[in-house]
Amino acid sequence: MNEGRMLRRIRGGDSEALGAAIEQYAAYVAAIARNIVEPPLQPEDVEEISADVFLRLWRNASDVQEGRLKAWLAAVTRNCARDRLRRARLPEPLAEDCLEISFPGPEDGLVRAELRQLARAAVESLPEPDRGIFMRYYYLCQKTDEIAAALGMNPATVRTRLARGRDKLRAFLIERGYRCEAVDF
Amino acid sequence: MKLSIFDLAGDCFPEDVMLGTKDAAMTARIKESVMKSIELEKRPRRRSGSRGLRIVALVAAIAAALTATAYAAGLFRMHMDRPEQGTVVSGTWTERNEDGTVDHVQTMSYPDAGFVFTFEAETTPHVVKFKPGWLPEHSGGPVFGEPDAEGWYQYLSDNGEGKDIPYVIQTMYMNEGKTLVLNGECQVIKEGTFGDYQMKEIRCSYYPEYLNDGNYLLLIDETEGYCLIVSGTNSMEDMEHIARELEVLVTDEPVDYNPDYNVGQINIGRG
Repeated sequence: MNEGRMLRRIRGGDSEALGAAIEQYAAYVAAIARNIVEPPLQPEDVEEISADVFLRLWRNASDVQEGRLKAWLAAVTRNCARDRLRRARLPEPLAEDCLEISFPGPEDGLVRAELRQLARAAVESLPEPDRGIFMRYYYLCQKTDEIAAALGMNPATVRTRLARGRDKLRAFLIERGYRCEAVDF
Repeated sequence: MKLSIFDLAGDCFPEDVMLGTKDAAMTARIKESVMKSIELEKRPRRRSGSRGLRIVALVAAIAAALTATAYAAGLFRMHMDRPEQGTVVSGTWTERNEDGTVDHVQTMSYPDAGFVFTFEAETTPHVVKFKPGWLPEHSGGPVFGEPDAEGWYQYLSDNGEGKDIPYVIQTMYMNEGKTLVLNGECQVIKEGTFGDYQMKEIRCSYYPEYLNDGNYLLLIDETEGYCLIVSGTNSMEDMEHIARELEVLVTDEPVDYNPDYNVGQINIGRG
């Protein structure tokens, strides 16, 4: 079933179409959830998070643009997995990978949105395979060993290229007027 | 501010990466769990008995929901939509003189609406009152809301201090024609049932120098046409605790739609 048809049927209340979406994307959703919550959470938690993501798809299918289902599932999985960690009062993944950013003027949602746009631009400016490595690590939360295995690289090389991506991001923000320092790299 | 790169990378979706290995057993378990939840959601709601004073204690309702057999479709429908980016939700407040002539029409605009609520109604909702059985420790800030002679509230809040409004308990009525907004950057974080209610948990972010994130627990009754809103900057666990211990009364007093005030907001906030 193609994605457009699948979404239209889900919006129309067809649970078989939702079942088809689960068949197609359960492994993907579970993998992202697992990257974020395991450890410390358990495989059962991963399945609960995955089920929650598909329930959200059922309820909010009208929010999903055709052609963007995979991206929507990934974003919702990130949110659900992080929320599960927060509710369990457990540390979030990559919490140590932070930037201390300061700038003139008040901090607000617009600043955060701009920072995300700048981060995207910075990442898009990276050459391959650095761009892919950065996205796999910081969006999908894949471990460096897994990224290395998927790309046929040495884990040390992956870590070096990640560091290069962080440097590029920091430089990109500094060029645009933000004062930016690495924290706990 | 300290920002996680994980957060900064929130728009960096790697389209061409497919993760995960097919696991038929896990997929089947996920599918079974989802389908079970969907079936539960499809069950029509229990109809109330005769109109008159009806008291529903949520704790009791949770148990009752397990054994209830009589269900009927709701008389009201609540729509919760996210406005398209750039949309400014607006309406009017019309002030009238004593003789009914229009004194002033004020356009009310909500450019930062996170969710918009509209309603379909086959009849008129009725005033809902509540008695709290548990509340968070008082913040020391002002408390708003007066009980009636029998101790029932229609509104109750601990308005807190600074960036905190620990809790606000209020009711949204499903009058057709009315638009209500929940402002801020809002996300639904959980949906399902809560006792005999449909439930949505929503988290909204505001300007951090203005107010801490708000947690909203919506308890929706589309048979009676109301939505109890337990909200505040305290944790969602606190909101759930308040809601679990609420005693709710649906009175016989109708809540008529007033087209002079066709828009409003339900969020916590400081004026």
